[in-house]
Amino acid sequence: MNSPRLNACISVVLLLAFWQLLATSLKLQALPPATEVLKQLVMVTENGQLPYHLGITLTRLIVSFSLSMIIGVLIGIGLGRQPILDQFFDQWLLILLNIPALVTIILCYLWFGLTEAAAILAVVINKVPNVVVTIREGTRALDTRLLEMADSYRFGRWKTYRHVIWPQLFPYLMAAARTGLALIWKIILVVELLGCSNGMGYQIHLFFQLFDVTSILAYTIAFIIVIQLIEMFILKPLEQRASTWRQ
Amino acid sequence: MTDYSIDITRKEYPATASTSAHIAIKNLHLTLKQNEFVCLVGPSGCGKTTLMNIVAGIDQNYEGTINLGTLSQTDNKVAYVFQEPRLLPWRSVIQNIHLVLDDPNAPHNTKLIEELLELMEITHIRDHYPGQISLGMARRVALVRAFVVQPQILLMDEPFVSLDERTAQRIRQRLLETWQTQPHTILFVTHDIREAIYLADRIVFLSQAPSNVINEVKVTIPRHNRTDEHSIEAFRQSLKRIGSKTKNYSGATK
Repeated sequence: MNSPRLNACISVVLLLAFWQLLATSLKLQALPPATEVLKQLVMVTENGQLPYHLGITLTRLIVSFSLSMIIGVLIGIGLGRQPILDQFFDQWLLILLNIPALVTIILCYLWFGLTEAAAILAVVINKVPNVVVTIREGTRALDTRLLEMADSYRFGRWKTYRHVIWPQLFPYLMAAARTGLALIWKIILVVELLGCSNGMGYQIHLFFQLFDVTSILAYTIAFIIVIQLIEMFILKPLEQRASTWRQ
Repeated sequence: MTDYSIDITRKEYPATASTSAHIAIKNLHLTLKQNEFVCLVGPSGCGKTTLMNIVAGIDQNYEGTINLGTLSQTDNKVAYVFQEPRLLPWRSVIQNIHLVLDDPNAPHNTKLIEELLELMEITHIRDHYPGQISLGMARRVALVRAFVVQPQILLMDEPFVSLDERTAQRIRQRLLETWQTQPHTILFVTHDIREAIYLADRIVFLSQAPSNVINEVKVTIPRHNRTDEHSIEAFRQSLKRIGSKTKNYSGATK
């Protein structure tokens, strides 16, 4: 174990210890001790409740994340490559970026009913503008000298995209994915809270009404762990593999 | 076998926020014979690179016609050595070279690549990434990349700048050898008149922007005599005299 990782572990353990100490000394209903929360976490995991709702939320996350990335990347490249389109749609983008997430969610439910599709759409609408902006930036920053090289050697469209454009966009794509994941996690819970009958957001809402802080915290911890796993086992390795040449 | 003709009536860079419109090329006519080695010489900023980009098919925003005979725009038979190496930083040296070939692992290609790497003395860096090698090395990689294509037209824009003279001279020699064994047309931009005399069949002089051809001179020194410094120098002196004459001339004919 190298020392940065060790440090990270120590800091998490310290945080938990601090929490435990604070909770046991204050003895508030609103702040259960860490041990209680962990016990609850194990319990809801074993009885299948947490995996079920977490699974549903994760599915929604994957679907809306993939849709947002695909749509956002396509539009972003388009706007980055075509200044006229960009000038035209820039205002639209600004408006979309500035509509509060809650408004789009409620409007989606009002217009399309309390359906699964409306829930996904609400998340996608919230996320796409961010992806577009990031990818547009990346497309504008493409190295024209390399594009000319590809042109003069007659690479053709596919080879140029695959070997010349894609590697240059990749860092921007990773940035969009990172911020996207964080954003979607947060929005998806609100979406579920407002209009779904399952998923993490729905559960949290339930616990809120029952004033069950222990469960809320237990679910939150499960959440954080899943995000960390995605970061560690999907995003980090992807990034590392793509940047071996940067030494 | 037809000649290649380059006919650019007008190439203009439109005005931008910070610059006014600039006419780079006007009424430039140039014919390249099959398998001819032509050097382009002209003052800096006279549009040589613009001309090369147009011939390469990168820049299609001009008035005029470029006739490369049977060569179509999609044909992989043009190779271009830019002023900078323009290697893809995320691909190793050998991967950069492979990328321009349709079938890089065909026996004749691997053999040619090995040979060229050997010649340029860069075999040992074949698996390095461009960021890990010097500019001079990267330039040599770019040259290998152009040669492996075995082009019908080879465009070279001051390819030997920043190489040490020993290496440059060796590559020039090799360029001539390859060209003689596998004839193709070469359009070569340089500001070094001696280099032009050493390499070319014909030297084309371009004017200041908006550029056109002010003079064309056949290099009359036999190829086997071109290693001789004196004959090169003598030819250069004779060019100077012609040069001053053509200047007066072009004023009169316009």
